[in-house]
Formats: sequence, structure tokens, C-alpha cells
Amino acid sequence: MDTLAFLMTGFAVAMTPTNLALAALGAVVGTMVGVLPGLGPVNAVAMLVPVVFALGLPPESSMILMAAIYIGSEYGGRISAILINVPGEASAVMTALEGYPLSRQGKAGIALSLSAWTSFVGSMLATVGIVVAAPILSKWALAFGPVEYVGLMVFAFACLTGLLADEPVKALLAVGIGLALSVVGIDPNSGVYRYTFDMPNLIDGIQFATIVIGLFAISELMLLYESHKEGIPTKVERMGRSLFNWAEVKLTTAATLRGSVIGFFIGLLPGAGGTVGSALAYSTEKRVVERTDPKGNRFGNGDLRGLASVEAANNSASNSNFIPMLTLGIPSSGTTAIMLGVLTLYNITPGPVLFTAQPELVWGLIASLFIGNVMLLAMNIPLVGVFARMLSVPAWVLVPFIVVVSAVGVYSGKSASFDLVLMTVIGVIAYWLRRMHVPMAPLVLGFVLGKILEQNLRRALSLSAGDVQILWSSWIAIVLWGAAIAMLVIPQLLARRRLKALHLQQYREDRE
Amino acid sequence: MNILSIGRSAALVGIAVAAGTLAAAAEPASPECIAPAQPGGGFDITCKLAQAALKDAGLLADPLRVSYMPGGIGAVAFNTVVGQRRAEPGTIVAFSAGSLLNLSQGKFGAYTADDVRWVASIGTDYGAVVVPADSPFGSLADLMAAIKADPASVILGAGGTIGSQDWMKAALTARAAGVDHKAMRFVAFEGGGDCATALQGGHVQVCMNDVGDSQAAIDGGAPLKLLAIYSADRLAGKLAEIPTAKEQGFDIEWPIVRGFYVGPDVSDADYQWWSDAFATAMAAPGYAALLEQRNLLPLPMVGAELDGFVDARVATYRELADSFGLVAN
Amino acid sequence: MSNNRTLGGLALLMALALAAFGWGLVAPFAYEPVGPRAFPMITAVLIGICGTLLLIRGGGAVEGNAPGVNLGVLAIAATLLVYAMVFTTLGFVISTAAMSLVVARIFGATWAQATISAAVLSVGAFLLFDHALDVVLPTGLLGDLL
Repeated sequence: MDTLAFLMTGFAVAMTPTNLALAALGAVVGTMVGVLPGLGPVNAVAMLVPVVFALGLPPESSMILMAAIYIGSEYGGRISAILINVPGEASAVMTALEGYPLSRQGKAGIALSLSAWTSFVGSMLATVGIVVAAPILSKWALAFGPVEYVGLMVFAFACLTGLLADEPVKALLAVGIGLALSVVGIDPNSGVYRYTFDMPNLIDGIQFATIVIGLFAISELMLLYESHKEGIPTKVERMGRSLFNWAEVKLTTAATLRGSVIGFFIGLLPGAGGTVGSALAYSTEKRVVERTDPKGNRFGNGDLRGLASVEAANNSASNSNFIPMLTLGIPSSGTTAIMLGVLTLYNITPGPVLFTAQPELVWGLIASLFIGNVMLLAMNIPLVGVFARMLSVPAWVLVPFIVVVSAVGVYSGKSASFDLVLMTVIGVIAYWLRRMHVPMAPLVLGFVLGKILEQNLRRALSLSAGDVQILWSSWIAIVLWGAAIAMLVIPQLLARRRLKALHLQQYREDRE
Repeated sequence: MNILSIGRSAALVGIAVAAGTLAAAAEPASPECIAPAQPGGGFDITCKLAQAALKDAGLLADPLRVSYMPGGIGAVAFNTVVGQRRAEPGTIVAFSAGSLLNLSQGKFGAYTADDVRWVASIGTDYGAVVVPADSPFGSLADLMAAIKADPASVILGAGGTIGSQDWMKAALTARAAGVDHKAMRFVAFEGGGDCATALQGGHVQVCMNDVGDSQAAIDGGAPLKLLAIYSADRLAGKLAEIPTAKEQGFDIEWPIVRGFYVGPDVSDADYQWWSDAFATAMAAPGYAALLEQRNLLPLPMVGAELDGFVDARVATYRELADSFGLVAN
Repeated sequence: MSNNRTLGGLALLMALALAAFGWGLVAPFAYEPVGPRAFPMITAVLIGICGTLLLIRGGGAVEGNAPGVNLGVLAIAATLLVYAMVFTTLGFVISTAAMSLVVARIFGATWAQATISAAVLSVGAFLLFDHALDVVLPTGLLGDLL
């Protein structure tokens, strides 16, 4: 078969000693910037561009290096989320939800190794997806216009209701705060400056890293101080094994597969990516577990299935991200944008002809994704012990370290101390909110989804000159709206039926 | 390369030769290029171009490092350099026509173009009207006729919001068609790339984008075509086939210049060093290839020539903004 | 100390502020029917409703910290704020060393431990980020030394 032949050529390219070494280097660097909050693959890739040229590497080699960094950072992002509740990457916000409780219970090793495994599965499945279906799926990315994005966001918000948990009002409040933060800055539709208070640093809005680091890292320090003062050891003793066992794999396999599929399709869409994909995967999984396994449901307190689905989803998304890049020349994230820029420096024009014009490059890159993922898994499993040991570092070493890493992450994006002040202020407020049991994840998602929803809704309505019927004018949009309604209604119906069954049962018992 | 810029390059070689004898000032310590945007954007490309050009010409011993300071198409960087980093000899900041446009509308705070020292322009791009390859519009005149007949029938997409360069191009187009810029149908996307994607998906009919990125997309096989380029004369190479708006009877020009400035308190010697360095680098034989790789066209200017150019552009932009009723806020 | 009423009250205040500062958000002219004001207003209403519900419902009191703990949290916040403000002027190495020293002390390190960790962290992090990862960090007072 053609595809298979191409793939073999790709492996021949990727297996040369230089390219293998570059993939390994990329995996290490990627994991490293992934672990560090605020610093991401964009920074690492942007920094490496001149180096790549100075070394005179051929285009496929530099692509392989960059792709390895990109997928490596997704592996790295989960580590800090699990260990210290600070997402290392935007897409790891959901990872912390189940991962951090697990590590507080002394199961950091299991959480780290299992999530490495599900990351690997998600990545590999997505890469297979690229091989099999890239050209067909590229149409999916183009089909998403403003109208379809509105549908997707409505669906995403509907899914979020599953996260509202035991205090829905507070969770909704968190969503509201996230939405409020998302409108700060220049409005892309009208050019009006919203809530910038004449501060130039706010014109482009509040950067994601500042918010996430403030919400999670800075507030965490203060909570750590509380436990420190109350004599609760901040160190966590490691419990037994650090490798997952067969039972845990079996428990999480379905979740991993579902997460991979969701992540794969969301990853195809420019702008949505791993954060949205992992949020959808998480809420889907929560719903599923609530229904099928109410007794074993440990969501919120460290459920392995939640962790597994999230990590499968965001890694799957970062791989399927390559599809619009390779088949259409459309960047779907900051990192793929830089990779496309590098291609033009080699006088290679990315776009639909790339597959036919540069088969070695394309298939070499795809083959290197397979190899890179194997390397990352092989590298991450032995590292689990090393990272888990980080938790036994005394607080007076760990806390200043978290502050420095956070500050550098925030500073690198804006080169301005303004954002450091903002990060601190957000952190202090978040500390109080967390003490008041206001959940942070809905806040972050409100921030991310709110922006996409508002801008695309307004764009859609200006396309139709105000006619709201445009919102369900395509079959994708109709399906998404339908799914959103189902997401809101079905759980209610099921709950009612369960309640009825319960009453009936009681009634019978009473009669007996 | 058009005649004008060949003349400029020749002049620059002269400057460079003269500068060679003058080069008394030492290279500034810790050279840094501030890109006022996220990594990967146009400003990053501008800084990386300077990095490559200065390195190829052997002018910098230390590498030129790139740092990122996004915000308001350069507003944050401008305020930082005019405010706290006034005299750093090693720091250059990338600017684009978009920065000048915002500066002219008072969006950079109280500052004006005279508050910094303009070092060099290193390349330019031009506005372009992009439509799908199978679009019913075969020429700019077709498009104009359709807009004129019914302004509501054509949706103009653009990569920027009201008051931005891309909006200006749309508004100028509407005006040339004899339609009020407030009556046109306009949809803002976040970046020209997003608009081009929406164009391919059939969500909009026209994008007011730039030549460089659009031609690169077409070379890559994207099913798009260019109706007109908003330059004074036809461009060189394969772009020579595409007519300008002017020759189709519509007087619209939109160059998108890219370059650098330094802080107001940077010494004359250091300012001169940077100007000379860029003049030398841009006269080097490999420079044309560096520009082409980044989808840019030559527009080399340094020193007083650039100062005059910037002042003239800012004045033009201000007049335009006034005529479109954009309120400075 | 604080309970749902406090949270609700503050949420209401936030909603009012959002609405007050957002009401004037009107474009001189626009090409879309919704405009820049709608979303901030919807958000304000959402926050306002949540705030009102919390105010009515009350309860949910959170146990206050021991006075010493509050002082410590305040000290951390103040240290971070100062750190943020002197980050560019003093430069990364000096400000980080100072911050690290204070924070380590707050978390119970001895002076010797705090000093050593501050020195190692500030220099080590500078080398890692500025030199190895090419993130341009402010040199500040140390200027050309680095």
C-alpha cells in the first residue's frame, strides 16, 4: 500500500543517527520546559530556530527536533500539575484535578507513571490517526467557522455543568470570574479597549500564564504555609510502588481510549487544542463514571480514570494538531506556527502540496512522532522516582523554587514586572477563594472558553447581519447544539428515573 | 526588486562604505532585540531577520538576543523604552506600519514618533486583496462593482479590528468603490491567517491580507488568488503578474514597513553604530535571500531618511484616521 | 471569620464594578449587532446572581486561621509583591536572592540554610534560564557583570 511505503521511507529518515539524537534531545528539552510553568514549547522552539540554522541542519531534522520538543512538553506539563498542583502547560490544568489529590495521598509515583502511559497511548493513537486519515480530516478543520465554534463552545459549557459539583453556585461564580477576566483588553471585534484603565500592559488582555500561575502556584504557597504552621507535614511519604499495576491499566483503559478520541478531534481545530480537549474528556469521563460506577467514583479525590482521560486527551490533541499544519499549512497553535515559519526559511512552502512535494519531510516527521513517543515513555517511567522524590524536599527549599520558576514563566511572556504584580494579586485573591471552596478549574475554563465563545458568536452574527438562525445553519453546528442539549437534559432524566426506581423499590419493601 | 529599491540599495552601499571608515564607536554590549509580540509573530520574524543579517555580515560578536514584550502592537514596548529603558545602547525594538498607525491614533499614550530614535527599516510587505481561487470576482473592478451595487452583499474579512491596518485596507477599498466605510460589511478575525482559513472554509468571501503570507499560502497549494496588490508599482518576480490597485483605477496604497528604533537617550555614537550596521548588513549580497525567505520585499532606509519617512507616514495615518472618524482613545 | 455572606457581598461588588466600568463600552461605530458591551454585562449579571444567592443562603463559614498564620500569609504576599516590583530594577539575581532568603525564613529555615539556598537558587536559576534556556532576564544592578 502507498501509505505504508511512505511510512517506511519516513522511518528511514527518522532512524538516521542524527535524527534519532535530535528526537532524544527534543524529548529532554521539551519535558524540561513542560515541567516549568509559564515556559512552554513556544519558548523552546523559538529559541532553537537560530541554533538550527547555525548548525545547518536539513529541514526534516529541524522539524523532528521541534516536534519532539512539542510533544515532550505535553508529557512534562503533567509532572508539576501532579506533584505541586501547578500546571506546567495550559493543557495540564485538568491534570491537577485528580493528579494532585493522588500525590497528596502518597500515590505520586502511580499517578506519574500511569499518566505517562496514558499520554503515550493518546499520542500513539493520534499519530496512527495522522497516518490513516490526515488528508480526509483536514476538511474538518476548514469546516469550522465562527458558527461551528459557537456550537462547540456551547457544547463545552454544557459539559462543564458536570463539573459544578456539590456547590454549584460557587462553581458558577468561578466561571463568571473567569469570563470577567477574559474580556479585559482590546476587543478583537470592535477595537474598543475594555477594562484596561489606560494601562498599556492590559491592552492585549491578561496572559494565560499569569492567570494560571497566580491561581494555582501562588495561592498554593499560602496554603502550604497554613499546613506548615498547623504542623501538617508538607512532605509526603512515598507509599510503596511507583509503577502502576495491571489492575489500574484495566480500570483506566476505556477512559484512556475515550480521552484519546476526544482529544484527537478537538486537536484538529485551530485555537481549541489540548486545554479544551482535556476539559471535555474530563467532564465526559466524570459523567460516565457517575453513571456506570457510582460506588467506585472518586472524582475530585484522585480518580485514576479522570487523570488517565485528561492526559490521553491533551497528548492526543497535541499530535493531531499536526494535521492542519501538514495538510493545509494552517497553524493550530503557537508552536506549529513557528514550525511553519521555519519551513519557509528553508524555502519550503507549507500548504496542501506539502505531502506530495516533500514526502521525506512529512513522513519523516510522522515517523519521528512514533519514535519520539517511545523515547518519551522510556524516559518518563524511570524519571518517576526522581520526580516523586521532589515531594520530600523541605518546604523552605521547595517554596522559593516554585516562586522563582513561576516568576520567570510569567516574566518571559511579557518582559514586564507588571505581570509579576498581577500574578501576585491574583494569587492572593485565589488563596482566599480557595479557602472559601470556590473551585479554580471552572474559573480557568471560563477564561479560555469565554473568549472563544464571545468572539465567534459576534463574528457569526456579523456574518449574518444579526440573524440568529445562522447559529444552526450547518450540520456540524446542529449536531453540537443537539449534543449540548442532550448533555444538559439526559443526566436530569436519568436522575429522575433512578429516583423513581428508588421510590418504587422502597414502596415494595414497605409493602413486604 | 523594483527600480526604486535598487537605487536605495546602491545609495546604502555608499553609506556603508563611508561608514566603514567612520566605525569608531564600539559594538554596544549585550545586544537585544525586543519583539513586541508573542514568539512566532511578525515582530519575532523581524527580530530574527536582524539577528541573521547582522550575524551573516559579521557585525556582532555577541549574538543578538530576542525578548518578547507583547501589547498593543508595540505600545507596551514603546512605553517601556521611553519610560524605563531610555538609554540602553544594546536594545533595539522592532516596529511595523501597524505600530506607526497606532502611534498616530494616540494609542501609545502621550508619546509621539519624536520620542524614540528610528534606526532602520529593513523590509516591507504590501496589502493584498485575497479571494478563493473559484471566486466569482475575477478582478478588483468586479469586487468594487459588487460592493457598489449592494454593500451588504460582500463580506470583507480582515485580520484586525476597527482602526487596524487590515480594517484601513477594507475601509479604503469601500471608499474607492464609492461606499461609506460604515456601510460596508466587515468581519474581524484574529490575524490574517485566521481570515485566510475562513476564506478556504467558505465562511467569508474576501480577505484584506498581506502579499507575503498570501503568496506563500498560494505557493503551498492553498486554493486562493490575489485580486490586487496595494503597492505603488508592480512587484518583482512571480508577483509581477498581479496588478496593483492603482493600475485598475483605484488609488489605494498600503505598504507595511518593518524596522527598528532605539531609546531616546541612546548616544549619537551608538545610534550611528546601529544605523551603519544595518546599512552594511542590508547591502550584503546574501540579504536579498534572507528577505525572500521571510516573504518580505526590500525597503532599506536608515537615519535621517527613515526619520522623514516615519514622520510622513504618521502624518498620513493621522489624516486617514481623522477622515474615517476614528476617535483617539 | 468569613462565610458565604462575605463571598456573596464581594461578588455583588464585583458585579457592580463590572457593570459600572463596562456600561460606557460602546464602539463609535461597529459592524456587528452585539457590540463590546453585551458580554461584560451578561457576566456581571451572572456574578451578581451568584452573589445574591450566596448572600441569601449564608452559612459555609470557614474557620479562621490562627493569628500567627494570617501574619505569615500576609508576610508571604508582601514579599512576593516587593519581589515583583524590584524584579527589573534590582535585577533577577539580587531580587531572587532576597526573596528566597525571606521566604525560606518564613518556612522555618535557619539563617544558614536560608542563605545557602538563596545563593544557590538565585545564581543557579539565572544560569539555567538566562544562559541555558535563553530567556532574557533583567540584570539590573549587576548589569555588565553577568
